Amino acid sequence: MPRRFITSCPRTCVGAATVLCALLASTSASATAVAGAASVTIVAPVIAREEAPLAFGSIDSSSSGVVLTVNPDGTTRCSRAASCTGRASPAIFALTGTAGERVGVTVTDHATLSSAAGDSLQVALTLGSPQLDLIAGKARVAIGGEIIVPAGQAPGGYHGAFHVDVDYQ
Amino acid sequence: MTFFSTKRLGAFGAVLTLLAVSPSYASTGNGDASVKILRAITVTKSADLYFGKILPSASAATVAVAESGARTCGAGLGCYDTASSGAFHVVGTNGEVVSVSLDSTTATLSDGASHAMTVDLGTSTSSLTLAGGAGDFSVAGTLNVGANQVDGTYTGQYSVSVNYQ
Repeated sequence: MPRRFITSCPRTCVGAATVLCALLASTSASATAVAGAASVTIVAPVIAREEAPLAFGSIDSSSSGVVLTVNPDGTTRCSRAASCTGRASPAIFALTGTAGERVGVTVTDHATLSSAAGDSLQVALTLGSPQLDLIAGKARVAIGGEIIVPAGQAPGGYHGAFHVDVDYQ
Repeated sequence: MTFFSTKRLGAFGAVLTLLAVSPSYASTGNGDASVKILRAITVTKSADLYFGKILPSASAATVAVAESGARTCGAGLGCYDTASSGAFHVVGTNGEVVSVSLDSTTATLSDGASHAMTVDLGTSTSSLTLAGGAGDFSVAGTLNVGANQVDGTYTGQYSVSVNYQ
C-alpha cells in the first residue's frame, strides 16, 4: 500500500523524504557521550619505628601478687603501690607514610616475657588508637599493658616482644 | 428546428463513452506514514572507576577492577580501600536499544607532576535495552603500576558514547 501511495502521489513522496531526514537528524542529536573519571592513590610504605619500649619498672612480688597497669596515655596503676618502683611507661611507635592518609593499627592481645632462667610472665596489651591520620605523613601510637606478677615469682629481668601491624585503610 | 447530423451524434456518443469509462480507472488509496519520536538520551556517571590505594613494589604489576567492582591486586602490591568500577546510567525511550562504546580503550592517569600510569578499559556491554526507559552499564579497568611508582593521587578521564540503534 505505501508503494502505491507513493507512486500515485509524488508530492507525498517528497514529504516522506523530508520526515526521514528530520528523523535521522534527530537520532544523531540524541547520541550522547559522557566522561568517566578514573583514579588511584599510590601510597608510600608506612613504617613503624619503636621510639620507646613498654616498661613496667621493678615489681616486688615477694610477699604477695601485684598487678601493674600501664595505660597508653602514660598513667599507671599498681595494686600495691609500694611494690612498684622504677619507670613504667607505654611503648611508643612513630609512624611515617603518605601524608593525609589514615592507617589502622593492630597489636597482639598478649606478650610473653621470659627470663634468662626460663621463667615467664604474661602481659595483656592495650592499644592507644586503632586508627590514626598521618598528618604531614607522621603519627605516633602508644601501647600499654597490664602485667600480673604472682607472689613468689622468680626474680630476674623479663623481656619479650610483641607484634604491631600498621596498614593503610 | 433542431436536428443532429450523424457526424455530431457520433461525436456526442464518443463523449458519453469517455465519461462512462473514466470512473472505472479512478482509484483512491490510503497511505501509511509513521514516525517514532525518540527521547533524547541522557547518560550520567554514577560511579568513578576507582582502584583504591595502592602500595607499589619494586616490580611493575597490575591492579584490575572488574565490572562487578571486585579488585585483583597484582603480585607484590598492597591494595587498600574499597575499589569500584565505573558505572553509568542511561535514560531514553522505553524499550529502545542503544549502543554503548568506549571512545578509547586506554586512559592515562596523572599526578599532575609528570608521573603517569595507563589504564586499559573495557565493558561487556555493547548494547543496552532501555527497559522502563533506563539502563545501566559498567566499565572495568586494569591499572598498570610501575616499579616503585611515585606516591600521589593520580586521576584521569575516559569517554563513553551511547546512541540509538
